Amino acid sequence: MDINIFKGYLKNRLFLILLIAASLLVVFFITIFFGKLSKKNDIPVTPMTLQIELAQSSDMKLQLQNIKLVEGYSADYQFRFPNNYYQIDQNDRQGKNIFHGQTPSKVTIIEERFSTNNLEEEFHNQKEELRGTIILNLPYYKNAESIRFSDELNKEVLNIKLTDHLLTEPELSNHCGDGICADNENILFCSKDCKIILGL
Amino acid sequence: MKKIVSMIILLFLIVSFSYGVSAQQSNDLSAQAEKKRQAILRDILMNLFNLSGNNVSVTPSPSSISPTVLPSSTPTQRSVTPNISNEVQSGVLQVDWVYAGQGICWSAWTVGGICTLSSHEGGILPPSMKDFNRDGVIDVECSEGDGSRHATTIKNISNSPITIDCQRYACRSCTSGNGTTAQCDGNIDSRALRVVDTITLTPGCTATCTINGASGTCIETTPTGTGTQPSPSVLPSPTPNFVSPTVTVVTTPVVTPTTLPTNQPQATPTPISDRDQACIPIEVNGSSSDKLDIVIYGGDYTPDLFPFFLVDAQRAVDELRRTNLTNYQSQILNKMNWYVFNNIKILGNKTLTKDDAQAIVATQTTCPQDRYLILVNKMYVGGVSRMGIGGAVGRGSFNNPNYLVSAHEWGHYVGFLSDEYDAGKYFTSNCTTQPSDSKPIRDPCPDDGISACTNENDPIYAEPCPAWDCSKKSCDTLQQQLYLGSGCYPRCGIVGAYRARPQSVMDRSFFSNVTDDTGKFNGPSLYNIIRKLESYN
Repeated sequence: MDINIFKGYLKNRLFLILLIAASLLVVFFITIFFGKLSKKNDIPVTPMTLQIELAQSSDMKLQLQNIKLVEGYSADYQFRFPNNYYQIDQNDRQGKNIFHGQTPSKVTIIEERFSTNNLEEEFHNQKEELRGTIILNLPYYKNAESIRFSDELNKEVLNIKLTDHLLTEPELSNHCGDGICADNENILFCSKDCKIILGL
Repeated sequence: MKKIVSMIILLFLIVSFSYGVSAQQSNDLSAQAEKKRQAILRDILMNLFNLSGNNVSVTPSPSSISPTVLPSSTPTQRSVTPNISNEVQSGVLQVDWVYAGQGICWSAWTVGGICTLSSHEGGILPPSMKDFNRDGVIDVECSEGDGSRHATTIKNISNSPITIDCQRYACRSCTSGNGTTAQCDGNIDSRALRVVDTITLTPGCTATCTINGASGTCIETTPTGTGTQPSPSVLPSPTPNFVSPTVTVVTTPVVTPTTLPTNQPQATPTPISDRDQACIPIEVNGSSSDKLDIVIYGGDYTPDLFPFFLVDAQRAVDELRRTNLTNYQSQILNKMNWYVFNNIKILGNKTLTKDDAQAIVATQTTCPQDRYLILVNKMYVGGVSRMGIGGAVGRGSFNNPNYLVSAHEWGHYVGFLSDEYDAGKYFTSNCTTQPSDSKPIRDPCPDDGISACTNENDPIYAEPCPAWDCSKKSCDTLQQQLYLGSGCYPRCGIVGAYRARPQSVMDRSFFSNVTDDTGKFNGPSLYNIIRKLESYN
């Protein structure tokens, strides 16, 4: 074989390999960068939620009523309340904190009806209430071992050992197209849900 | 050149492969039953909203509408008088193809079963009105019919691309220009809500405008504004085969809306996206774990009023952009995601009552939810807020473009802000009981719904209350920035407390006494909102 033809053959092959590698790199870059890296924290966004029902007593203690895994998205509980809140901490088997959030312990309710031409007809009512039954949709961590609830002064009001409860993972349906760009979705694999995050 | 082409082809193949994998994954995940369920739901939605596909043929033939329902006169050549009956559960929807401010093709129909007006679908006459470039040849064809399609289709029969608007209107009453045919646009009802999609129609292309937006196989979409503001002067003829030598564009709405001051930020509306999703994104700024996710529920909207609910939901979100929060985009507005809970998709074709909505807000996991907002399909103006949990707003709160009730309630359930009128209680987030040394005693902006502000810039009020006076207390950088311009005005939740500005979103001046301050959250309020959202990205 002519050495020049062989060189050309090798050159073409090398070019093809480089082309494939470059293309894969581009796809990888798009998928990863616009997918997971666009997320700025590690709270899972998956269609699996740890739903907890708590009963609140008048002394602000909490009692577990129900705990289960449900299909769907959780809240993130990252809002910082000025006062009257519980702290929520999920810890793993090593005792390391993997989630911290807050939820109100008391709620101020403001009801107002306006009259556009007669102030006498207006109605306003404002009151503060304990929450009574609290339902939380917490992010689900497979490695979580306990969930600790504490008051504003970090005094524990409830500690749930997850190993004491049988948590059955529900069978998940296809969530691509439900409007939420979950962690396992990205612009390539579920553009319908994820394009909006890119402002497309 | 060859190399570039082969690179493009290879890239295309890889991307196609990725999509293939995605589709395969979907197939693996979806059970047969799920597919069937989705197909049924899709059918329901198609029927519910009369979604039209892209294969609708254009029928430029004469209308088949019975002449008895047509006006014998030329109604669009004079100013039309709104014929608005105040039916709560009924209304008119209209879709138009609008070119250069002129309605070209349209369809309007009633919803709610109470209005007795006739539906219709047609296009502007004489045909010369469809000759956009004035070359003597008409450029577009419009579909015609009895309005039962709830859609209007346009075909570009010219040789040039045409940029045209798909405008959708929602009127909450039985509106008509002539008393017999349904018609809903800004000239008929100044409160008509409008959503606009601008598209470019390539030669030979056909596109359909439905209440869900523009669709077509060969259109190019140009994202534009939608608006909950009154529509511009677009007045298509209400009848499909109405023949008129001239078509008058009425430039003055019959009902003149009260508009916000021109220096107030106007809404930068967001298109409502795919309505087939269980959780319809209204405004998404990032991953739900990074944002405060607010989910909007429609309470007491019957299934056929779902499009109204979506327009109201959009208005509720856009209302925040009519305040000074637009100056704090990255610190406040971009830290929230807004979704609509698609109860039709999830619960079926039935009405979600206000009580139903209130009952499911805690347990639903269809949408990620940090706060909820229930829009109640009742005519009252006002709402209920549960601080840190969520709120509800009566639909009457959207009756006037000046009203900022939804933004006011947001100030409660997200911002933990106090009312700044005399409400019986106050919170220190935006109120203080300690007056400035000037001892302001009289309220320069009486909260009586009648009087205008007088003397509000008097130095007696301009001196800040000690709580917001960074020359007297230690302030962080943000406080120094935001407290600037704060004064000390008597009345904030209670008579004995003080607010930082004479008016704000948290009082009720947007009903009667609109000034520059009406659409603004004051400095202390902004500071508290920003600090509470700090954990979000």
